[in-house]
Amino acid sequence: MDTQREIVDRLRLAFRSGITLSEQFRCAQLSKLMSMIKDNEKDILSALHKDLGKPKFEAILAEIDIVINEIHYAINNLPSWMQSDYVNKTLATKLDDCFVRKEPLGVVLIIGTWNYPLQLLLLPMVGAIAAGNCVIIKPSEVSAATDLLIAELIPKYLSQDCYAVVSGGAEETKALLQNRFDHIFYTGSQTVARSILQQASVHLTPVTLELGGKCPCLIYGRVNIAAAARRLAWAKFFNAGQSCVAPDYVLCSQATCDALLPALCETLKDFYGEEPQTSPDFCRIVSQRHWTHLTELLKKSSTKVVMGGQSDQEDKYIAPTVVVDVAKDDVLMEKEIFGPILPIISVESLEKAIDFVNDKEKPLALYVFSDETSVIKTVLQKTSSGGFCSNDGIVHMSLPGLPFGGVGASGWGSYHGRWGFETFSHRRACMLRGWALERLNGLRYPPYRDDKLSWLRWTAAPKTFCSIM
Amino acid sequence: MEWEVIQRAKEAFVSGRSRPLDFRLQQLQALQRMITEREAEITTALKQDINRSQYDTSLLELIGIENEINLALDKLAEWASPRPVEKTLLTVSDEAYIRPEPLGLVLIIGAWNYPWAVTLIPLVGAIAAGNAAVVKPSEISGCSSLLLETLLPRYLDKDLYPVVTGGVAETQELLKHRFDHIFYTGSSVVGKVVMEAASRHLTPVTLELGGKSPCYIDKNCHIRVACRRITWGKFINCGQTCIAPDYILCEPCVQGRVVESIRQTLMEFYGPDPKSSPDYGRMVNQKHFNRVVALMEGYAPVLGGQCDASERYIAPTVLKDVPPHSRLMQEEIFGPVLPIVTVSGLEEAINFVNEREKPLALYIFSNDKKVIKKMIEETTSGGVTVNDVMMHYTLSSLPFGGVGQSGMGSYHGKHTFEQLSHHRACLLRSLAMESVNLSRYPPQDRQRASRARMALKSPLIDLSKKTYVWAVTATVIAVGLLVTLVVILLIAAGLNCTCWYWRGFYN
Repeated sequence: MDTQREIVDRLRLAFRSGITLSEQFRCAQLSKLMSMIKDNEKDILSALHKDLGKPKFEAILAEIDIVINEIHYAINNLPSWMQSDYVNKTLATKLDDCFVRKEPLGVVLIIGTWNYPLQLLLLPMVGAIAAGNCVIIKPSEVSAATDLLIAELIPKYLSQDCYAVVSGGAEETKALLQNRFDHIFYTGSQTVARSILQQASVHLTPVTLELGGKCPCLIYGRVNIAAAARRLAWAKFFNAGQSCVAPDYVLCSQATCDALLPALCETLKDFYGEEPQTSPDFCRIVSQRHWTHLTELLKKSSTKVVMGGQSDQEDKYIAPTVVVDVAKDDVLMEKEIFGPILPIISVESLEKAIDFVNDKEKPLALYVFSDETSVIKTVLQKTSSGGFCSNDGIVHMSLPGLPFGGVGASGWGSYHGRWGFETFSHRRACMLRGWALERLNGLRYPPYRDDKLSWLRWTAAPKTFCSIM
Repeated sequence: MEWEVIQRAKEAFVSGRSRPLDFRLQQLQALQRMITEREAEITTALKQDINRSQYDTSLLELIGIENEINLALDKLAEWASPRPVEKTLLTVSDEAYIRPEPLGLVLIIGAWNYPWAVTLIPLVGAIAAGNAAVVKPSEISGCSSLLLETLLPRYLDKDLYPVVTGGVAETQELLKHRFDHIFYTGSSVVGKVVMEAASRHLTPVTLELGGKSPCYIDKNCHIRVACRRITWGKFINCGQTCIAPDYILCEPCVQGRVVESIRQTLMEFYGPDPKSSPDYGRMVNQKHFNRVVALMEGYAPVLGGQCDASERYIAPTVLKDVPPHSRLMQEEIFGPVLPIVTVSGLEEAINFVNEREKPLALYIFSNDKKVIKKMIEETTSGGVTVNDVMMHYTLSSLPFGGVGQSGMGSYHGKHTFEQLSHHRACLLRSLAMESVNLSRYPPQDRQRASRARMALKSPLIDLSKKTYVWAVTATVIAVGLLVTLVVILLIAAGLNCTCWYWRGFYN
């Protein structure tokens, strides 16, 4: 078993050999990654079920299909992504070849997390492979079964010289970060992100941080409450609320709340039946530790439980729960909930709701439910968030054309589709000049004269009008 | 004191007044006026700071800033517009786009070598992107720093774009506060400190650092022209340029001609005594003067080598046959000293570059396209100029920035706007057509599941090359068949007409 150092050195050597540079190599590795997922779908579903009690449907949609779609997208688009971008030129550079070359960074580290153990590790990995890097992936030890499976499968399918899995907990991750990487991609919490960024600063390593936060969901104006309740409930209770983009809490007027509650109740019955614990479609909490944290939160909270509230420690089950009478400083409003508990906060006006949102950190996602376009536009223009989705939840991250990432405390950088490729690439500005026009160059050489200056200004201006050439 | 300034800037941003496009354009126009109206004062300040000539001030700083402002004025509406993206089956009737938004309060920390360009060009991008910005010019270029502190509030919004001056202590205090982005230009050493300080607040950074930019001269090239261009780039601003060619790599057979060409060029540029040329600069301060002089110790220059501490003057100096592991080759020179290191050929030159930290710029001089291609493909750097130096900096459509130790992020032109914006992914759906959504809700069954999977597939249309070729071929064949059909019909109709005509004729 190689030490971490040996793994990093091996990958660096492989990168220097230039093997990852060709399009064929990258496509071949991506195809193998796809085969890995398709061939082992059963085992993957089983591991996810073991870790999170993940229903088959959720696992297929949010772990298997999303990665396969991403790989397809990358393979289809890789030739155009890899092509150099030719740029607009000034008069002085008209005869030159000016373009931006996309180059891999080198050896990159991707640290995954436990709520979508496959997606959040392999989706960035697709971008890293497509960009021509060597990659070390570090799955989360909290989703232990998936961690073990990934560590077993990756070396069987992908090139062992270029891609490696390093498993372990906090200590092992800390040790891994002592090595020098060319990019670190981290998904997880703000606390750990701070320490990763600090370690990255020692080597001036660029980072991408996919963090979280409390994603608000505003419901204002005229709204089809039944449809809103369905989409809200789906987004909230998918993966038992353990999604970084799950609507964390709802802001609406009291009247809307009164209409929303029965609609939510009806929806939850439709989704999971009378006893969600017996439904095969409802997930479990990932660990005892997290289960305890959530149930403690609920106990400490001074809110009123209007739906759910039941829990079962052995099963790591917490029922889909809705609470009202939430004070601004309630314990449930301090940090990201990351569980199947939905606080509904009454704020009478849209303006006050927007102030409420803006008083907090910029979230990873922001949701608005309304049939009134003006409401949606107002919220969009007066707030900021990583992503924004109106009249639905989570689905904005399924579009490969949209960058997925946070802003402020919810993260730095983005990925998905071309954005993943760009994240793991260096855009190298290239200007290839000839030997001709040395007289034109003479404008810039000493000894200086005033008349030279005006000519120089003219040739160096960005062309904002039609030029003769 | 700084806390108040920062608070005011934050409040000004929250008020929303930096967001409307008209406001941004108006501020950019005001900045443009400042540069034009105050050129004389800026030139004087730079002369006092770094003995920069008037020509060089325009050439190296002001033209660049003016171009950036003009480009932003022209293109801002386009840059700031939402950018639609491709959709999946599920989202086919929705609006999906990327919305560029301001980040908030940006901190811009400038450097002393081009004090106006490296503070104002990022400021142009910050304003264009709708942010507020605290500008912290370098205290080493003291006159420029004080002038900027006086001028900027006279032209720009005082609350949104304050200038904070001071030295290391003040900068450290500034870095304790929380910003939405920090844009730093300077050394890698301080870059690490800035990034570490930023980590406490999870603040994203752009670091424009430096390093040793290698310059490879192939034996197959116009050595005279190459050396003229290299001499210009190396000794402008007295070598104190982050993308100046730091050292030359060439084969021993070429070294003599290189030295001779540089000597001739120096004579053309600065005359027999560069010290008396009005076009040759000085070291910025005693500390940097001493540093560069110390680097030269123990080496006998083939050109130059003279210095005068009272004027902080170091002659344009060239050293040949410099050992690869000498002190000169350890750190960025940032002065008018040009070492030549000999290598056996292209392979060795490539290995030499790759053994060292990724540089901010790489220069290749060659007539041979294969040599150029090989060197570009087998190395990496922030940017590359082939058969010239530094010129990639002048084209604002090219992103300017480093990689690895030479920096992270990039700017110039639209790239500054992008760097200082948040690209917010937006999906605007309607609550109608709920039936389409039903397949994704529990309770799940096989049928529902496959419908949901189908809806999330992307792309909506297959844009791969193979499909494109088939589409074009199919269209051509279809058009061809259509044309044939029309021709046949016409002929048939014509024949009919003719028949009728002749019938008519004979009848």
